[in-house]
Amino acid sequence: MLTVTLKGMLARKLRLLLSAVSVVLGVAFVTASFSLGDSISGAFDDHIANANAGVDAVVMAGAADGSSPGALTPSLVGALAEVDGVTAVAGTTTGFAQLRDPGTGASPADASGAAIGWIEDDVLNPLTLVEGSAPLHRDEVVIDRASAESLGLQIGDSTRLITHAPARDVTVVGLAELGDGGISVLGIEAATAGEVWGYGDGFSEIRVRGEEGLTEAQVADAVEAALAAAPGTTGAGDGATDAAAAAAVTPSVYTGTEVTEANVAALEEQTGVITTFLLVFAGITLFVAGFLILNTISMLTAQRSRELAVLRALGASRGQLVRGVVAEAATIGVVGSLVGLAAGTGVATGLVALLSRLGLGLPETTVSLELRTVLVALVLGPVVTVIASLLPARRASAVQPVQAMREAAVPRTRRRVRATVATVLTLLAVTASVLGVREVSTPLVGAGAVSMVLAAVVWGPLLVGPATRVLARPFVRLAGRPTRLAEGNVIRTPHRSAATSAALVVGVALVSATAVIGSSMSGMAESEIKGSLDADVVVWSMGGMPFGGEAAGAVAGQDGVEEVGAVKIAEADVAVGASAPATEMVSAMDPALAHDMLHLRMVEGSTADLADGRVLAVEGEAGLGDSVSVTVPGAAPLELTVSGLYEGTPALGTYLVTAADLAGIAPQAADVYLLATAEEGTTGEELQATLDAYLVDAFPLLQAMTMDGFVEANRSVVDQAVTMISALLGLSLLVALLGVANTLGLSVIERTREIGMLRSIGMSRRQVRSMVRVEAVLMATYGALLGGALGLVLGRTVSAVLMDGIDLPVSVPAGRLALYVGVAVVAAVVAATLPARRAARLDVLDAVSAT
Amino acid sequence: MNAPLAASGTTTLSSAEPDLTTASAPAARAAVVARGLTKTYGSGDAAVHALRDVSVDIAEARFTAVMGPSGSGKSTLMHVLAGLDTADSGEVTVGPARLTGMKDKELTRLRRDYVGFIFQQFNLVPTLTARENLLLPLQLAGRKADPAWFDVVVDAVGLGHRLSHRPSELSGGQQQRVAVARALVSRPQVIFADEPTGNLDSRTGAEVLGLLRACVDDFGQTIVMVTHDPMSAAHADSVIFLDDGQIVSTMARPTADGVLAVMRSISTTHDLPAGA
Ligand SMILES: Nc1ncnc2c1ncn2[C@@H]1O[C@H](COP(=O)(O)OP(=O)(O)OP(=O)(O)O)[C@@H](O)[C@H]1O
Ligand SMILES: [Mg+2]
Repeated sequence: MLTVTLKGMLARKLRLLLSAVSVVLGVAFVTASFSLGDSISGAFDDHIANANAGVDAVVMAGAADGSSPGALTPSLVGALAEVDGVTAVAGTTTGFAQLRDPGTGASPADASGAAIGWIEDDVLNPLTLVEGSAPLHRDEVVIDRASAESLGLQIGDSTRLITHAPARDVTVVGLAELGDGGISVLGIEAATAGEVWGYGDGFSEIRVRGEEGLTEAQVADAVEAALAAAPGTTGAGDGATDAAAAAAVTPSVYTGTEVTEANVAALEEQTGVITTFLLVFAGITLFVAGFLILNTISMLTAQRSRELAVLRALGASRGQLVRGVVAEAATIGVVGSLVGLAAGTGVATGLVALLSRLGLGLPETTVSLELRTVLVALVLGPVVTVIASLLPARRASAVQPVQAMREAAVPRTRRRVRATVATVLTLLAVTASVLGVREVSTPLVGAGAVSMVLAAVVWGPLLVGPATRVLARPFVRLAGRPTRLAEGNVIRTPHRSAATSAALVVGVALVSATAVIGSSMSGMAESEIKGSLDADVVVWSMGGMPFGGEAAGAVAGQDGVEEVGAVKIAEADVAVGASAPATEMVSAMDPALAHDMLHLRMVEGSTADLADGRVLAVEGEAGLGDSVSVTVPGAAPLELTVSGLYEGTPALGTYLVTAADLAGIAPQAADVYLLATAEEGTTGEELQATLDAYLVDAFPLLQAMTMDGFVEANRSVVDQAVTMISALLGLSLLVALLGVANTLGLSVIERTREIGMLRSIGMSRRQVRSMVRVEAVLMATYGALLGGALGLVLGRTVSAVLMDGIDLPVSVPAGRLALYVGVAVVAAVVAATLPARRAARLDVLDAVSAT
Repeated sequence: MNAPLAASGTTTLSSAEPDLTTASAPAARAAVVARGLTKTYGSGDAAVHALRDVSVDIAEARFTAVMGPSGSGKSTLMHVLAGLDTADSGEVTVGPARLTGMKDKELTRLRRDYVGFIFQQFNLVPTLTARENLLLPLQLAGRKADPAWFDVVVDAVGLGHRLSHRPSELSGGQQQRVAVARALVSRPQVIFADEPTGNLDSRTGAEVLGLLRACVDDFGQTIVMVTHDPMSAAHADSVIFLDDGQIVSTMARPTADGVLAVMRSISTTHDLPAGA
């Protein structure tokens, strides 16, 4: 039986190829996702490990990953140098900094912004000087070779250093690399670094090397003991900000390996998000591909039903037929997966090269193809294929041996069972969605969404016939007779047409839902921002990066400014009452300014109730009068009482405390935006222009925006996310369209004889072509319309939950939805080109006598 | 309907008479026995009675032809006898096996052990060579071919030098010889052939019929063949005539003329122009 299967497959190479295409696409996507993620994190891992080589212990003011730093004093460095077993100690600071292109005056997109104060000790310094001299004097910097080239900087050139502090002129004195090189990085003279990041002559970390022969742990223990014995060594050095001076920061000691691991973990968390994201889409693609595989194998077996019946008549058992079909599927799966693995690795290689070239701070690296990726690809592909083949295999085995002698009877569809299942699924979907929206329950809405998609898939074969009849009407005028034939072709194989469209339904539904959610979210951003902030101008760093406290004072000093309110944000562990702490975003503002400028929708209390020792919380997070404990790593917990509750808003974190309270535990907590009001007689636009003119030089990373501009900027963040997700989902659409081409190609082959007959009775090549094209258009229109409608419903329910109780109409981006449907239909016509041409080119005589 | 016929050696039968169904010499044992087969398609006014209470014994080691006008139920009878289809009522026994109420598994085994088929459209697997096609039934059953018997069969159908060819490289007659050999190779109790020469020209058809004849004479194979052609029927040991789902006549040692005469008389009862 296996020989029969294999020989049969080899004899139908074209069909084999067509059916393998969907597997190839799905597996390629999975492989590319995995190896892209691995390559990115692998590249960083190596560099981090190399950069920390030779460092035995690191003292940090905050957590090991560098978040929430406080300042460490120079005297602590001196004290540690005296500790037994310590051979070298160096304090340093790290933070965000970029150099400007002296030619264009712009900051290059490929600068990572990673920067560190220069350490004179070669081993403790993560950077290695490769050319020129070290930055040992004020306002001297070194930069990696690739960044220097892309900025057009030579050693000795001057340019501006951009940080969240006012910009300053610096001189490039040398080239230096982090680890093996290739990472965009900046080394800044130590005192200059302390100034720009607000540490004064203090440090964010102290790196320690021990004597030869001591383990990292021994060195770290010695350092820890020394810290405990030397109280008062923390705080701020001279010149640090007042807030830092007031801080009671407890330093923590980590071994070099721990720091490397923490850095790697933090990076993996970032790249992990990307990988997970990609994998979700790979999963969707594979799911869509599953439909096509099912379809292809169904068609292949249907075409062979006579052959299968002969085998049955010759004594093949049902099991043998099932095994034959499944073996065929497994072979397609394995071959497709191998090709997909190769293709996916190729795509990943291309993407990595592209990313390095676009300079997303990615070091040059080779693509890593890990055993896990190979295994997943080689297991997933065949498994999905085999699962998708089970249904056609069962159908194939039901072939009656009599069919070897009679024309195959019309296959009986179990319409009643299907209709029942579809109805139950629809009811489930409606119930879960309605309840989910009312109760604001994500799991319920999720269940509703899944059953909605399933219901659409199950309804398919029942819907496709009537829908096609309606859709075909406008084409009858356009294409005439061939339309009737095309309509008949779509309707006579409802399962096949439905399965082909199902892939399209899922794809279009997902992009449409994304569009609906995106447009609702950006609508929400607008109403929320306008509703909760009362200011004329917002100053922030594009992309929402936090910035230092000097900007607020500087902006307040400008002409036309009445008041400036700084909104700070910090990540902290927050415990309500005796409950376990959760990581939350805590916002902070001066209470008087908060009362003036924040228009929160208060559920309990008012913004006037914010004071030192008190906190406002998002409703549902805590109750009025609850005691809340806010902890930042390295600082004593801050105990507060809840004095008001507000409705959640994107403008603020989960809690709002006073600026003074937050400074007490997190002196380095940065500002995320400044709210400025204009003096009498100055319009918002005028103020925005004044501030922008000032900021461009003084705080180049900051921008002043009118409220409308700020809303627009927030919208564009949402729009970008929507565009990116749609692009990824577009791949599943691509797979679906290939499926349309595939199905048509196979059905043209299947109908060779019939097409020959039509040609022999006078159908022109043109008519044959348009018949095939109209088939594609009918299936695509049906799929796209159903998908669009499904996406609309899905998008609305999901938005309703995401907007959690916010009373805002879900917006429908009608233009965008229409565009998707249009694109899908046009693409289907393109996809039909090859099958249509093949059908039109058939030689009449050959076709009629074909078997 | 049961009017006496001019041709010699024919008897007119009512299928209701149970013990007159043996169409061959009384000495022969029956390879296939059918009793009271009825089969109706559809219901009410639209009902088509494909078989009406048909009882028949197929003699062992004999060549039996089944004839009758189009739509008379020949194929249906054959499918029911071969276990490819089930009758509404009645019983069929093939060799020792009683088909009534058999499950798919048992029917599969029946096809492997007792029954061979020759189809009008040859139905060779196009992707396999002639040899592979020959061996297919044995492979499906997981059995080894008896090499001596295989050689005898190949020799008998005269295909020794074409075994490595694919069906598309063989003529229609050659393909049908492969199909005959395929039916023979597992030594079934009985071979059923539905219009095996229907797709062949008369000379090639005659060759295939000669081959079937030889199988019966040389190997003692039982063969049941549906045909429309009186010349073909003349190769058989006996002929069963069907009309409107009933056995209307049988003939031993048929001649082409004798068969033609019976066929004409059946046509006449349908008020068709004589000689049609
Ligand atoms: N699946 C079916 N459904 C309904 N009627 C059927 C079916 N198969 C056969 N019939 C009817 O049963 C009757 C006998 O059919 P059968 O195929 O046995 O005739 P036949 O003698 O083989 O004819 P022919 O010489 O044309 O092949 C015919 O009237 C036919 O229309
Ligand atoms: Mg027939």
